[in-house]
Order: sequence, then structure tokens, then C-alpha cells
Amino acid sequence: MPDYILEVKNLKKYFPITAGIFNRIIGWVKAVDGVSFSVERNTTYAIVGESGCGKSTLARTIIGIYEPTSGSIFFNGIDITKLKRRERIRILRRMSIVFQDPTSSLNPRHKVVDIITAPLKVHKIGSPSERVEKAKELVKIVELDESFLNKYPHELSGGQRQRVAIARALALEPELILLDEPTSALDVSVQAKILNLLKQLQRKLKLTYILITHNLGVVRNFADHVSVMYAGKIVETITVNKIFSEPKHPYTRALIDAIPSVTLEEEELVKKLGLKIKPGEPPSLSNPPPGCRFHPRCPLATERCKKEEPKPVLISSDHVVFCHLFS
Amino acid sequence: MSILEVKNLTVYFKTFAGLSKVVENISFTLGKGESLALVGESGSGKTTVLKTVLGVLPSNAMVKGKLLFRGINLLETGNEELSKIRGTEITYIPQEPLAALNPLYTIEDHFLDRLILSGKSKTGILSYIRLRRKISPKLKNIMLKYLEKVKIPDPERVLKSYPMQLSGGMLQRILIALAIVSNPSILLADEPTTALDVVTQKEIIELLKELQRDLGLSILYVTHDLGVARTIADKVIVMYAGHMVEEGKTSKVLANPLHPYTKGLVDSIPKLVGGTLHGIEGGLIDYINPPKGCRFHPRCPKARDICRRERPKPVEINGRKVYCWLYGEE
Ligand SMILES: Nc1ncnc2c1ncn2[C@@H]1O[C@H](COP(=O)(O)OP(=O)(O)OP(=O)(O)O)[C@@H](O)[C@H]1O
Ligand SMILES: Nc1ncnc2c1ncn2[C@@H]1O[C@H](COP(=O)(O)OP(=O)(O)O)[C@@H](O)[C@H]1O
Ligand code: SF4
Ligand code: SF4
Ligand SMILES: [Mg+2]
Ligand SMILES: [Mg+2]
Repeated sequence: MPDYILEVKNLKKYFPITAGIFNRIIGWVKAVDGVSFSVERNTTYAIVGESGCGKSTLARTIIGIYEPTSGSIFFNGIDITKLKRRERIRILRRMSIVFQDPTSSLNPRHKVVDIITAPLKVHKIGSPSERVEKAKELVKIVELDESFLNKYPHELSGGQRQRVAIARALALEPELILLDEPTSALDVSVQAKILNLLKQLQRKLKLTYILITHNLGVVRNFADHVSVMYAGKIVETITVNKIFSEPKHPYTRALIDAIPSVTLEEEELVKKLGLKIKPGEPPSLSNPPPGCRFHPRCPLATERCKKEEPKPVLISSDHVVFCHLFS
Repeated sequence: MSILEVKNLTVYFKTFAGLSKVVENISFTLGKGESLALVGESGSGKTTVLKTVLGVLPSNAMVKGKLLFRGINLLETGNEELSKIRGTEITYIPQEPLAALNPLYTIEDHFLDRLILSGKSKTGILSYIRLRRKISPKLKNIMLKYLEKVKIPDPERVLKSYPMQLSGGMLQRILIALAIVSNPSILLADEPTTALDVVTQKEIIELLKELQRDLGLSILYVTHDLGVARTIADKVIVMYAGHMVEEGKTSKVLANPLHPYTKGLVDSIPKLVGGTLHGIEGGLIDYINPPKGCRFHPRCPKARDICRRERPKPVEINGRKVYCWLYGEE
């Protein structure tokens, strides 16, 4: 039996669309619409998909920034959606999050030392001097010099800011870290350094990661399992090795097809696995297409796809695809 | 035949802290119907080069060198011809589609602005009311024709829409339509797909390539993404800290980078086929006190004495150019 640190079951997060002076609810944005997946301890689980497909909402719902509309989130076997507020806050300390844009996620008026120790302060952990000691330890872990503690975010480069954000995420000694596009705002030479740092921390501190990204290259080099999301739903769950040898879902293959390859080797892989899709836009999350949400852009769609929502098809024990072609 | 020749272009900015020596001695030629990518990481001076070609640098900029468009030096001031060339013969697709369009005006208004005033107006609402009276069936047909060229579905509806009502991908197509409506010979593109997701990015790049072929456009394409550069451009120039470091056929440069910086960049990209990621130590260059000699030397694993003293001269190797002391004579 795999040791799952997190199990998400049929999770939904809907945002109301309101109108008029009485804020009457006229519809729902179904940003996360029945998502299930399980994350093994000490591994990296990637969630990929186009912007707006619900990735960030999923992460924010898992970590309790948003209240789920329905579904359950088992963290170390306990359904945290069922807990009382107090108890939930205590448990959520074992999870943290690193956001995409290190510039806007760090308070510009606070020194690095205060940014890093903020979570400790919030949870009333340690005396002020103990917290500073902890901050010294944390900057070292993210490979920054102690002198950075007295700097302000604007004095740092993008990569250094993201290191500070990682140090802050480590402050409460979490078991699980949600990484929401942690390197999308960085240059590739800096991204490589941050990814290497995260990998090394994972080994050293026995961390589990959920990595949200739109970059399949990052997935290939960083994650163990991956779920592909489209319009609020998971369409395929697969191991990282298999997604680059036997992707099944037409949308997964479309994502691969769209990658601008850097080398000939990559170009050949993309040609072999990719699938060209019909031009179009990602669907509206308030009024998604009936049947399979991907059918208006899917080159392989049949009549059935327009009417019937695909059920999960088990290709192998670690490979699930939601597509009529395989049922 | 070259349509644009950039010779020894240097751009400095006067700032409170001192003279910021951003771009130095950039030289390249863009041939007719050719596409050239300018790649480099954030802050390497790509946008500055594009803005110089387009003539939209802020007033604190000091420019030296030559910009020859069909032999005419665009940097000579006081020439009526010039303002006509820029905006009609040389046009531009910006990085941020929403910021580039006025939220108060419909797509049709934006077209009118381009068609009647060549986009020079920065018009207020009054002149728009005047402009609107000028819509003739002929103008309307031109607009529809160009929207079709960039494959906009339902162009009639789109003309009546406001920017906020359209997706990022649609807006980028519209900006391309607005850029080609004057029948330019050079299109400058500043990371036009960075804000889009990969699937849409691919569609836009394919569209640009098609237009390049069909209209004989020359494209100068700025990007930080080496994969995008490889997909769109025959030739690439790699910039580091405002200097050129390497130039050549894109596929060759990426398959076998010569300059240590280019090599570092290629090794930093997480590839679909796996492999170790390297990254480059250090970062952040101070343009007021830039490193002497080769600007890359503080980060270069191969730096030697001469690199810290003297700027490397271009060395030609198999039709490529590299600026590095590892090659050629000291
Ligand atoms: N008007 C200005 N005054 C002073 N410095 C400027 C000015 N415009 C740009 N710079 C500086 O010039 C350098 C190059 O900027 P530029 O916008 O050309 O970079 P870029 O390569 O386009 O970067 P990015 O990939 O982030 O868009 C930066 O250090 C920037 O701060
Ligand atoms: N707080 C919110 N209120 C209303 N709608 C939201 C909110 N957050 C996200 N959304 C909507 O949910 C959808 C998914 O967004 P998001 O989770 O940010 O996607 P991703 O991270 O995949 O880009 C989008 O349509 C977005 O506009
Ligand atoms: S279910 Fe049908 S429309 Fe959906 S991905 Fe599969 S083939 Fe395409
Ligand atoms: S000139 Fe010297 S410092 Fe510059 S890239 Fe070449 S070896 Fe490195
Ligand atoms: Mg997001
Ligand atoms: Mg720029």
C-alpha cells in the first residue's frame, strides 16, 4: 500500500457570479469541479494545465485559503474539511505554499528576517531571539548569506526573492509544500538553480511537493506523478515517465504538441507524441460544454463526446484517463 | 537583400544614480522576408533595442550608431520621412496586449485610428466621433479582411467589441492585424506570446510564420524563450547584459552553443527528454558600473585575466559569430 500524505476526493470549488445591487447569484464559476488525486509521501506531484483551468484554485482550496464547495481532503488520513476551525489551523501548519510571483507575495515594507519569521510569529512559536536564530538557519538552507536578513525585497533579484519565499514556507517545518508556479516569473538560468535547490531540500527534509505549473519541461525534470487539468477537471493522471512515452488523452497530447522544442531530440519527441488540436479558446468555467469539456477543440471527438461525460478509465494501476476513446 | 541594418548601436540612459550603460555596440542585419530572434534574459536590453528601432525611447535615452532602413538612417532627426516609415513601414506588436489597447474604444475604433491616422494620434474621444463618421464600406471591408487574415472567428462581432471582452489570444491576433494593416515591411515583436499559454502561443507563432511567408515580412522577434526563438526564427542573436555574445543560425546555435553564456542558458532549460539542469551562478548586472571587459566574466566558469580587462571581439566560426576570448586571438 502506498503511503499517501494527501488524498483529495471529488473536490469542488465554485465561485458565485453575482449581479445587481442585491448581489443576486446568477451562476457559478466551477473552477475546480470534482477533482480526485492522491499524493505519495516524499514525492512530487505535478498539476499541469492552461492558465485559468483551476490549478491555483485547487492549491488554495487544499491549503484552506478557500473553503471547498464540497468534497474531502485527507491529510495524513484525516479529512481536514470536517475539522473545527481551530483544529484545522493546527493541522494546516504542516502544509505551506510558495506563490508564483515572488515580488507581490513578499511585503515590500518588511525586512527579510521579518518575512521569514512571520509564520512563527502568527503561530506564537519561540521568543523573538529564537525566531531570529531560526531565520538565520533558514536563509542558510536556501543558500543565501546571513546579510540578506536585513535587506528589503526590492534589494533582491527575482531568484533571491523566491529563495526568501521558500525559506518562509519552510519556517513551520512543513511536511507538504504547495508550489504554485514557483519559477514561472524567473529567468531559466535562475529557474534551474531554484529547482535544484527545491530537489535538494526535498531529500534533506523529507518533503512532499505539489507542483502547479504549465511547463511540461519542468514536470519532466522535477515531478514523479502528474495530473493534467482542463477546464476545472482532471483529464489524465499518469507517471512522469509515462507521460513522455505513452500519453493517452488528446488534450495531454495537445499540450505536448505545443511545446517549442529547443533541441532536435525534443522536436522528435514532440512530433511523435503530440496531437494538433482545433484552434479555439479554453471553455468558460461557468457554462462548460456538455459531455466532454474538450470536445469543441478535440480532433478525435465523436457524437458521444458531445453528450456523455467521460468516466475514468484505468489504463494501468498508475494511469487513469478520462476519455471515451479508451472505454 | 538587407532591409534593416543596425550598426554599432549604443543606448545609454541618464538616471539620478549616474549613466546607465545598457546597450553597447549592437550590429546586425535583417534581410527581406527573414526572421531574426533577439534572445536574452530579463534586463538584457532586448526591449531597448526594439524601442530604438521603433523610435519610442524615453527622453532620458542617449543613442549612438546607425539604423539603416533601406539605406536611410533612422537616427537622423528632423526628417519628415522618418516618422512615416515608423508606424507604417516598421510596425510593432507589444508584449502586453491589454495595455496596448485603449479599454474605452472598440476594436473598430482602433482600426480607424491605424487606418486614418497611422496610429499617431493618441486621440481623445472627440476626434473619434469625427473618425466614426468616416467609416465607409470600403474601410470596413479592409478591417474585416485583416481580421480574417489573422483568423479571427466572427470578425463582425469582434469589430464591435471592447478589448476587455476578448481573450488574450484574440487580443494578440488583433494587435497583429493592427500591425500589418499598413502593409509594413518590418514587424517588430516584443515577447508577443509570453502572456499566453502554450497552446495559444503555438497558434500565434504559426500565424506569424504564415504572414511572414505570405506578405514577405521581415520579423525581428524578441524573446527570452530559446524554444520559441528556434520555432520562429532562422537566425538568432543572444544578448547578455546589453552586449551581443553570439549570433548564427538558430538551430545551430542551440544545438552547439559556443559562448559560455549561451551554453549555460541551453543547459538551464528543463528538457522533455530529461537531463541534468545546471543554471548559471550569480546574476543581476549593474549597468552604471558594468563589469569591465567581457560583461559575463563575473558569472563565467571559464573567465581568464584578459576577460576582465578587454572586451572580446567577434570571431567568425563556420558562418557564426561569437564574442568570447576562448575563441580567436588574444
Ligand atoms: N528609461 C530608462 N531609464 C533607465 N534605465 C532603463 C530605461 N529603460 C530601460 N532601462 C534599463 O535597461 C535595462 C534593459 O531593459 P530592457 O527593457 O531593454 O530589457 P529586456 O531585455 O527587454 O528585459 P525583459 O526580458 O525583462 O523585458 C534594464 O536594466 C532596465 O532597467
Ligand atoms: N477568488 C475568486 N473569485 C472568483 N473567481 C475566481 C477566484 N479565483 C479564481 N477564480 C476563477 O477561477 C478560474 C480558475 O482560476 P485559477 O485557479 O487561478 O486558474 P489557474 O491557476 O489554472 O490559472 C478562473 O476562471 C478564475 O477567474
Ligand atoms: S472524450 Fe471525446 S472529445 Fe473528449 S478527449 Fe476523448 S475523444 Fe476527445
Ligand atoms: S570572454 Fe572570458 S569571461 Fe567572457 S564568456 Fe568568454 S571566457 Fe567567459
Ligand atoms: Mg494560477
Ligand atoms: Mg522587455
